[in-house]
Amino acid sequence: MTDDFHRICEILCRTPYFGAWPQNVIGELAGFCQWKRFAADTPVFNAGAPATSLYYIVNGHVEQSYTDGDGTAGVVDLIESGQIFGEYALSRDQRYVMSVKTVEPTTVIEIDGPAFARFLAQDIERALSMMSVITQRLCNMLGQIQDLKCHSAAKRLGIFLLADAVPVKDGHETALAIEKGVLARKLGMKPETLSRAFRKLTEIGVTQQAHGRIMHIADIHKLVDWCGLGEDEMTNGEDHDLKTVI
Amino acid sequence: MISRPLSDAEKVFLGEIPLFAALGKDRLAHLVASCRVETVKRGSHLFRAADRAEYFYVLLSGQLRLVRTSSQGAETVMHFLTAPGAFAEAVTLAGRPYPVDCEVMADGAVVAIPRAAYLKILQEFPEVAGEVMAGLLEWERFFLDEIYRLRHTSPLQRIAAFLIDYQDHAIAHEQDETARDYPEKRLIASRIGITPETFSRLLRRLEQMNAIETGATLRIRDRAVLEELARFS
Repeated sequence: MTDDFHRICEILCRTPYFGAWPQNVIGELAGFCQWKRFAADTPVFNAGAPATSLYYIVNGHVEQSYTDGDGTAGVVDLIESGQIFGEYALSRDQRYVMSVKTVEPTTVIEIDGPAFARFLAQDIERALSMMSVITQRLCNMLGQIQDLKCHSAAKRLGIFLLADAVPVKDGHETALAIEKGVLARKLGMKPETLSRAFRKLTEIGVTQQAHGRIMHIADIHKLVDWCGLGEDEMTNGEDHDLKTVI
Repeated sequence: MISRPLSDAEKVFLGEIPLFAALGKDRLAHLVASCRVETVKRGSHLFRAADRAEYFYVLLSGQLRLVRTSSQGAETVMHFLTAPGAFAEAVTLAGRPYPVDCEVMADGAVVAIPRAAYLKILQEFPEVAGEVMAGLLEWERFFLDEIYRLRHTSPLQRIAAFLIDYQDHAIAHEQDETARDYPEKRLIASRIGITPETFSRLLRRLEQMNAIETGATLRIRDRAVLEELARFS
C-alpha cells in the first residue's frame, strides 16, 4: 500500500459524499484514485475532450468555463476545495462539456471515470450518493440562475460577503480568500463592475480593511435587508447556503 | 385533477424516454402499473416549492412553467416546459423537496411516477442508475447554458435567442399553431432575467428593425435578423 493510497482513503472518509461508506468500500474506491497536483493557471481538461476522470479538490480552486454553440467561452463557476468536478465522465457521450483550469496551485484526487461508473452500478446506495451530489449541484445552479436574474452586481457581492461573515466586536467581518479578479469572474461580472459594487456597498456600511483582504460589515441586518434576503435565508440550511448559491 | 391509467400509446411513449428505456420492457411494464396520467388545468399547480417530492413527472401535453419565489415574494420564471419529457426526477430520486412551483400554463396531461416504485427497481437493478445519472447531467448541461447566457450575453442577445429557441422547440415537437404562441411578455422577461421595462424597450427596438411584430401575440418577421443578434449583439 502506498502513502498516496492511505492519504486518499483518509481524505475520502472525511468528505460529505463518501464519508458514510464503510472502510472497505472507501478502500475499493481509493483503488482507482490518484493523487495529483496542478500548478496555478493550468488546464485540467478542455471542453469536448473525452471525459475519463472525475476530480475531488483537496485544496485550491479551479475555474469552469462553458463554451456556447458559437464557440465563445465564458467562466460559469469557481469550484473550491471539498467539491467534485468532471462528473461528465458519467454522462452518455462521456465528453466534458466545459473547460477547467486551476486559478492557484491545486491538489486533487483524480477518480477514474469508467471504474467509478462500474463501482456505482454495483450498489444502489453508492449510486444514490452520487445522484445526491449531482442534485445538490442542480439546486445550487438553480439558485445561481435566480440570483443572476434578480440581483444587481452589488447585491450579488453583498450576498457573497454575507455567506462567510463572522461576528466581531463592532459588527461582522468576511475574509476574502481569493483575488478580486477571480472573485469578479466567480460572481459573473467585470473587474470594473466589481469595483463599483464595492463602492456601492460602502453606502450600506461595508468597508475594506487589511488592504481589501477583509471586509467589515457594520450592520449585518441592514445588509441582509438591502440584499433583499429574509432572515431565514441567513440560516445554513442546505437550500439556503448562500455561498453555494452564488 | 382527473387521474387515469396510461393508454397503450402513452406506454410506448414512456418507453422511448431514456430514463425508462434503460429499465427494459418487463421492469417498465411493472413500473407503469403504478403510474397514472393526470389531466391538469391552466392556472392549477402540479406541485409547490418545499412540497415533499413523492413523484416525478413526464409531460405528455400542455405547457407548464417552473417558478421560484423569493422570501420577499418576488417570482422568477426558471423554465417553460412545453415539450414532452421527464422533469423533477433529480429532486424526487434524491428525496428532496421540490425547489420550485410548477404551474400549468395550458391544459394538458402528465404521467406521475411514484418515487418509491422507481427506487424499488433501482434497488433491484442498480445498473440502471447510470442512465438516471446521465439524465441528471443533461439537466446540469441545460443549467450551465442558462448561467452562461445570464453572465455573458446581453439582454438583446437573450431575447433574440429565446424567440428563436422557443420557435425551434415548438416546430421540433410538432406543436400546433396555438401551442407555438409565445408566453406572456412579462413571463418571458422573467424567464430570461430582464426587467419588464427593459424587455418592452428592446422589443420596440426589434420591431423597428423589422425582426418581430408585437401586438396581442409576438411573431417573428425576420428570423435572419434575430439569428444575427443572438450571435453578436
